[in-house]
Amino acid sequence: MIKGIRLEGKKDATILVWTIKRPEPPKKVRIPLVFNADNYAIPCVEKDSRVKIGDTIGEPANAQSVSVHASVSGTVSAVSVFPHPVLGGVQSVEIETDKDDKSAPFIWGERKDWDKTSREELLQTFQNSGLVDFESGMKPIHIKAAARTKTIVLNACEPEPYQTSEHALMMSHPLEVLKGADILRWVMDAEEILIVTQDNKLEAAETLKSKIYFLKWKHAEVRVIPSEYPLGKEVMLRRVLGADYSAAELEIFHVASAFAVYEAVVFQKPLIERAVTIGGECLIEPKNAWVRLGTDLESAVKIGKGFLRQPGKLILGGPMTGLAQERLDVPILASTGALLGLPEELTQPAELNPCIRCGKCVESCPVDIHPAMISIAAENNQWEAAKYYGVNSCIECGNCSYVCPVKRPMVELIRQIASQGPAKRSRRRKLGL
Amino acid sequence: MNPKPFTVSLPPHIRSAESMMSRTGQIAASLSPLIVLAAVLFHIEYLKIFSACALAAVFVQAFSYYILKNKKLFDFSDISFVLLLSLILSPKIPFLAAFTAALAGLFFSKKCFGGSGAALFHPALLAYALISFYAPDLTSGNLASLIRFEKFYQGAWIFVIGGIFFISGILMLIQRLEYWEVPLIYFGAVYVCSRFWLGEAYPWAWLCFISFFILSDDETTPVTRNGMRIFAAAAALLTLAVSRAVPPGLSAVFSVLIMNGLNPAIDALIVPAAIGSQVPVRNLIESESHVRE
Repeated sequence: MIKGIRLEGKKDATILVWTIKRPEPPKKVRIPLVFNADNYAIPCVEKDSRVKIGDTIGEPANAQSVSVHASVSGTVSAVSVFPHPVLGGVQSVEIETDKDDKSAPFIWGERKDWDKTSREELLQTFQNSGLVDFESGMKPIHIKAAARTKTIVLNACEPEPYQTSEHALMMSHPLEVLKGADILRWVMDAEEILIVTQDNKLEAAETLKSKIYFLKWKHAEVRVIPSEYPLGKEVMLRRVLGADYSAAELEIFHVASAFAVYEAVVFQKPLIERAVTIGGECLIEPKNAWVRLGTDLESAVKIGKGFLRQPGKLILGGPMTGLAQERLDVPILASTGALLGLPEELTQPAELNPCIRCGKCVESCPVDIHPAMISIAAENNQWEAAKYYGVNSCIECGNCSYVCPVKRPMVELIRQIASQGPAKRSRRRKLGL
Repeated sequence: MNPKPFTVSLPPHIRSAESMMSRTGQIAASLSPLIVLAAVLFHIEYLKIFSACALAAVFVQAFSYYILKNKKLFDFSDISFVLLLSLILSPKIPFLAAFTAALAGLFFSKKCFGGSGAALFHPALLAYALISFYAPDLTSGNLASLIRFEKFYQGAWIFVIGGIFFISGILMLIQRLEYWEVPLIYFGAVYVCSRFWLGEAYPWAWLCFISFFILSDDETTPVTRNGMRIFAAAAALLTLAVSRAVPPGLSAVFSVLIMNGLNPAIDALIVPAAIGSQVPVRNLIESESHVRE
């Protein structure tokens, strides 16, 4: 049995309506040209260049990287190093939006014969459209889809509280999501599509099932798993499905990735925006919105009508694994599923209190390690002991920190001791850092 | 727009509402039927014992705060200690003896080993054991041994007192302060074996008390569920073995104290097998990365 914890969903505020709002474009965007150490682009525009929405502003640096596109129409005001929410500061292109943006087409015409396109051509389309996986690692889709597999898994779980952007996407664009998955299935020569969702999204599961029925697809299936955290995370999803599939038989994509694939292939629309949940108790009007990539957090907060009260933390991503941000001038990335303003009372800082050995962390650990003993080993700087208690298997889901009654900084301690071991590189790769 | 900077820290950014205070509150709520029962049966005598234990706990807290400079955490587990010790000490014990035993129990079981979270022995049991050395005849007559030793408490009283013990125990289980297997293993093993093999049933009120309230202590029992099962089974066997030499009650106390001493070894040996140990996540991820590279 795989262990998880039931978190309070807090998703109702953003799924009152299934519509994903399309707000006014921001006055300027800062689009990072770097996704990670392997995936970065070389700028192909200069200061004062005029660009239209969807124009290429960064050419892929190598076969492992993807193009970067202008998410607004306007004038390039700078190509320089700008703040980045994850990497600190990276080369980015700053574009000031002009009036043409509103009249610019979002769709570059429908291509009806995509199913006659060759596999290589589709992979090239993925690369040219700048498609990356909508996770923290932001792996390019053309690399991920290059290998053949047996089953395409669409991860429609969203296990963290507040996040509903993919839920809304499934409800508002179910056919596009399914067809995007079918394109991936065709490219990867897979036999079937498995859509995995959690039991707090039964209406989305039913919607997808009905669409599959009307499409007369025999190769697609919807599976519902318990809405426990972190069952929806990719590593855990592999374990949940592990009884039926071996690791080599699965390739997991997000619902938003499938939707982006559909738009890129059928409508030739590059990756210039994504559905983001703008929520949390501190936002006046929490909602799901299409946010242009590179939009600064200040503009993104304005989509939610601003702050009702001063948040204690501003988080990019979910509250369990997201990154707390100090400043509002960092951009929204392709991996940003949510922007949350959480009040101070919910985000009490951890304290290095002594462990009371209650065992709650062991009970809630999804990978069956011994967080209590690892954290004690970390306090005493004992790498060998931490290794003995399974520090290398930690996926940093945060369950141990969440359940700890004395509020110990378990994840921090685990990271601290893990960074001393030889497995540091593989851990960082696993976590997509 | 942003007069106060946002807090930056590592995830997770939210935490469960459970705290040490709420846990202690749950334990106190579970013990409250027994406390009421003790107050009804022993009147002012119970208050005397309770005051002695509470005073000792306050003294140790003050010592820890002012002398040892331990300011990190108010030790809420001392509240559970006061409640438990006041229930297992006989009301016949003099105030000063109870105070000294409680003080020594707390100090030698916990503060000697580093304070909160580091207790090696159960403080209440250690205090009880110390009393038994000081005055063996004063160990009987407490709440748990009433059913067996006092002729007055027979008939309907047995059911009333026994029922209250079970209600308190069930409250512990409902609030998930203890794994249900632990009382089942300990109580079941000791009671059945003593009844059918040794010929004389062990006092079940004592067994109830030990299995529900003493074995649920976080600090002095193993962290993992498997460790807890082993701990309970070994404590049961020891109780049966020791009961041949010492009076019932004390045998349970000594056996649990012995197991407390072995607890670090159990924690070191009983380690959960990471991710089923068949396909470790690390290997899985590494193999995938190699395929992609």
